[in-house]
Amino acid sequence: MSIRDKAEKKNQYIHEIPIQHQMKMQVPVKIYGNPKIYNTLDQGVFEQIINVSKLPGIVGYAMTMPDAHWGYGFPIGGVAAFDLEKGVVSPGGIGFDINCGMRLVTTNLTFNQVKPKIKELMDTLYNLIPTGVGKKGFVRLSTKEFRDVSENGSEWCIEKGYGWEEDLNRQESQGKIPGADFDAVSEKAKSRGISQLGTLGSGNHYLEVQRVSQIFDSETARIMGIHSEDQVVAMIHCGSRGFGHQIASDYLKLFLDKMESDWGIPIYERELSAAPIQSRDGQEYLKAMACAANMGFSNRQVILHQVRMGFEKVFNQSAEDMEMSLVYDVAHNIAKQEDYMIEGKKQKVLVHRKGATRSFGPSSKDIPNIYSAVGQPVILGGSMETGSYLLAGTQTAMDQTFGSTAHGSGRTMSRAKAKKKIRGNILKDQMASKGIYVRAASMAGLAEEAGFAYKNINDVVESIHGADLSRKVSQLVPIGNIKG
Amino acid sequence: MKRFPYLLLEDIAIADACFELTGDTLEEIFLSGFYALMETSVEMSSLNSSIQKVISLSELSLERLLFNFLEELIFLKDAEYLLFKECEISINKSSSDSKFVLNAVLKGQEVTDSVKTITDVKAITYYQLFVRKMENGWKARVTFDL
Repeated sequence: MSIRDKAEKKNQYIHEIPIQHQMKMQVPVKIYGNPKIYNTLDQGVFEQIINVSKLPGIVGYAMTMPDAHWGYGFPIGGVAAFDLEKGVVSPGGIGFDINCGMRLVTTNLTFNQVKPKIKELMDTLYNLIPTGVGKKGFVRLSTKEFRDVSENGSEWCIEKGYGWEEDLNRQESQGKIPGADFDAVSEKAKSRGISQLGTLGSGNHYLEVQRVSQIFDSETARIMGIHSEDQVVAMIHCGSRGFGHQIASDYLKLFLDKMESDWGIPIYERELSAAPIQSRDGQEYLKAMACAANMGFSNRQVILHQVRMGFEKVFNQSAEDMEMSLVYDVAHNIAKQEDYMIEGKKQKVLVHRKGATRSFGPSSKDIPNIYSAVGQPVILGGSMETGSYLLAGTQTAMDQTFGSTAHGSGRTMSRAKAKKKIRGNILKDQMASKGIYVRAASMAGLAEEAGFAYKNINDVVESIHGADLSRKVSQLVPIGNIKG
Repeated sequence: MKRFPYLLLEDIAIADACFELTGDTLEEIFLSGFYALMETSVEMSSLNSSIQKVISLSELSLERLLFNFLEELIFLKDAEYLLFKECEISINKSSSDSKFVLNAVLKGQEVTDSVKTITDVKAITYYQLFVRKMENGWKARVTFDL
């Protein structure tokens, strides 16, 4: 009998693997997803999340969200929290692209106003935002300025004119993870990142212009700036670029060399390398990770500035007049210290979210006042063909998943298989016939991101809405896409 | 030019790219890794060989040597915007400290609009990483985070 069959079905959306399933499991495993999602999960997801459940100092449950798929170390869509004294921090529980995340900005333009100019708009944005492999950013930074970016995040951007003052409050942690120390970052990471501020990158990263296709909760939507169907919005998906990738690689290697010998932590998979949170190396990683996270917020902030410029140029109105307000910015590859009630006691823990989004509910102290009544905005990016969702955080997420939910669709087909099924130029034409204008840095890269290579986002959303990890607010469908 | 074979293992780490590398010699394994990385990143026919770089690395383990060699290529892509078309490699074992010593000469160019890039390789991973001497040659496995 496979692990999948042995897990206990708790309800329509939750399966549980008890602590007795395998030796050394410290906590049970909880797997979120409706029956369709659960029955098609990769075997690797089960194996990897069970490995996570064996790590020292883990509390509560090791969990996977409905978009989970096979990663390294943690599965993508994995969530785990660790006791600050006895627990560990794992770069493989955060991902190579530290603070990869999503950002959503509104406009007061309608689909009918934007549609005739969508080609001009996307071409303008493509020229304003460096996209693809090996592209330099337009922001020239000295080493001292790069330190400021890394230690102060979006604050630096606003001070330099890349955004509005109000943007700061509409970002997770106000766009700045505290405790960042540039001295904890290698020279190699600094060299990789210093010219990449304001670049989109490649892979599944994108900038999308979307129209609101459906509103599920009009009051929450109104509070989040979504007023009507056919309203046009823009979504940004990218992270900390080579800077974060190198920081993750550097510390993963360092921890791997010391795990067994210095800290007595078993190696279940080399990508699951970890250090005690309170060790010197663990603390240094957290300082470096915060730098990468701040670079991620800053990168999306500078890109937002360029998006506003692009709209201004094409529609000949100011961004303020077009009401281009930031709805929210969420990180989905990160570790953060947060407080939860665990076994009846309030406890500060280090929550790892790898391909998982924070989903803080109403009245949480760490969300902007404007969202206090409804919960934080949760931005779920779908494939570039199928669309995305805006949702709201819930108290259930606070109670069950360390305030976490899914982050996207989740890949089900390899990039190579996707490329064999369709050529990039054919996909581009097919998308055009559906009313989606695409600019891509690479046609081969475009084919890798075809909609059929991903889970149906509606299943993911139905699962998190059904399990009450987030509430549906509105559905957003693409009309223009820049693919890195 | 001799083809250095690699095979994409499509059912492993589906969001990324896992490769099996084969070769008659250790150097050929590393060259297979070079081609796997470059052909994931760029259409190599769109590159010229106008810039030369030399890499020297030493490590006790072959896995770590392969990891660091490929990581250096990613570093040069991000820090110096360089992608490479050609690579010559020699690997020897140092008698003084038993480390494997790699020397590589790379030829390529800076990324320009004429370079047809594909996908950014973010990082080399330890996932299923190995380098093994087989009865008939060498075999390795390496996974790139994309």
